[in-house]
Amino acid sequence: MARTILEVRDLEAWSDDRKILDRINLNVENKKVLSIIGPRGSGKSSLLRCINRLFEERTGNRVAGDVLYEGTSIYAESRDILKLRRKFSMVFAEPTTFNHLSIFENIALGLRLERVESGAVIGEAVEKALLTVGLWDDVKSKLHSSPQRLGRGEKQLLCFARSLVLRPKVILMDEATSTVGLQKTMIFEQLIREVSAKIPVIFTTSSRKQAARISDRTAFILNGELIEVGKTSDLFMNPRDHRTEDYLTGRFG
Amino acid sequence: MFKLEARLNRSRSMMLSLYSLSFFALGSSLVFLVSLFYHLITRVEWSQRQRLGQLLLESLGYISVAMFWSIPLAVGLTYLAVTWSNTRYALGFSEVLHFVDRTPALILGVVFLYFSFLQPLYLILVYVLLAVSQLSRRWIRLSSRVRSLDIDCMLSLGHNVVGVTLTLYMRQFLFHYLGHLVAVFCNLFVIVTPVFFLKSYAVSSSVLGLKMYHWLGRDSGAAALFALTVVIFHSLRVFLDRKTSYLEVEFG
Repeated sequence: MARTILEVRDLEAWSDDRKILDRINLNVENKKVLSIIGPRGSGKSSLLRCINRLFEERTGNRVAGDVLYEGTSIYAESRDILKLRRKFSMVFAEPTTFNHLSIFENIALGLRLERVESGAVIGEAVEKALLTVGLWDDVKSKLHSSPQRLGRGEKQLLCFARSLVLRPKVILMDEATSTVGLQKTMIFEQLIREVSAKIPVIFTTSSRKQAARISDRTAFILNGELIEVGKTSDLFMNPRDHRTEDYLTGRFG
Repeated sequence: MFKLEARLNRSRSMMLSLYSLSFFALGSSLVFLVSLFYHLITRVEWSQRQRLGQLLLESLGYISVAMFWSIPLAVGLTYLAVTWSNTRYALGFSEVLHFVDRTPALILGVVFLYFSFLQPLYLILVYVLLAVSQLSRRWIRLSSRVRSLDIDCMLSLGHNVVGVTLTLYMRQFLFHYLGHLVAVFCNLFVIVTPVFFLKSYAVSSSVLGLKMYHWLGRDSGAAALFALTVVIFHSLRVFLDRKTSYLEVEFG
């Protein structure tokens, strides 16, 4: 039985007066991939953003309930949010490379924010991250140029490398493959499997097939409510709730 | 007759001045209204307060742009109009010359005032407002999802809000402002050179020690040097602008 690393407890979220998440209870197991599926606007991204406390950054957003990381609340007042966010790396749906920085500096940015001073350490970490995502050979000759000219998929892999370089404890991926091509999606899926052998990955997707392919466990969210969560094979083969079945069989969404 | 012609020329130039001023003010106001309409219809997802904040900022920006561009252009056109009427009508030459004699000083004054003070001031104002709004994170959100993702991404990497502002906005501000400083010189050369070409042939002036420009106006080498400087400044400006192209500021 895998160890639970993250526990979402009665989590509720509002954007202005609109309720986005409704009493979510969910466990995330270590070294596993958890997919969160659901139609657009169901609250998948908001849930991820509550886990790394990015949700509350937007004006009018508020959260109730708790998220426990290794038994301690991430919403505790004493919690250093900046450190927390580095521990819970996030890859967004759109590739978010900073084109005013070089490819190297894009990846090194997180380390510099962590006050890593040694150039050798940074260089080594950047190379390792790029090797992990399989981008090293493509970019090693242009490390100090802007990522502007990279393809969309390559940019997204760069973002993945940037999140890995921080040695995160949890990786959050918000529809990270939704804007990349088929080939890069396959690379991403392979990478997620590899990375999840060491770190838990929480992955939101609108693609049921993708969830079935890559995840150990799957959670289905609808209108901010967690309908069902369980082993991926169980959820897809024997959904307990008719709404899950309807979604999986394409009756809606 | 002599005085009458001069008076006529002066009133004609004043009319032209007024006309050009209103033309540019009207043009800029139209741009402002169109963009205002565009923002109103395309940002329906914004709350009233966000829209009001954005609107205020943009109004400030566009009105400043309209004002700042109108004045030097109007003065420039007036000068050209006076020069034109000067050549067209031989009568009243000395009176018109008297006016023309002071025009470069006026143009120089406005141009210097505009480029060295008003435009940077306006830019500083816009960037300070942007920085403040970003710091408080209450007033406006950046318009596109990608750009707001940039901020989220910075935050997720462990930047704090001040850090994000400094990294994304101040860096942009520095590049952008540097670009504008270069543009100041560039535009100065572009505007001033032809004026003094004309001026040097038109009058023998001592206003503001403009003897120098006689030399500049007549000397082809100096003119070539001017042209080269303009090209270099323009290239620099384009380069600096490209440096900031990853994040477009909506103002100015």
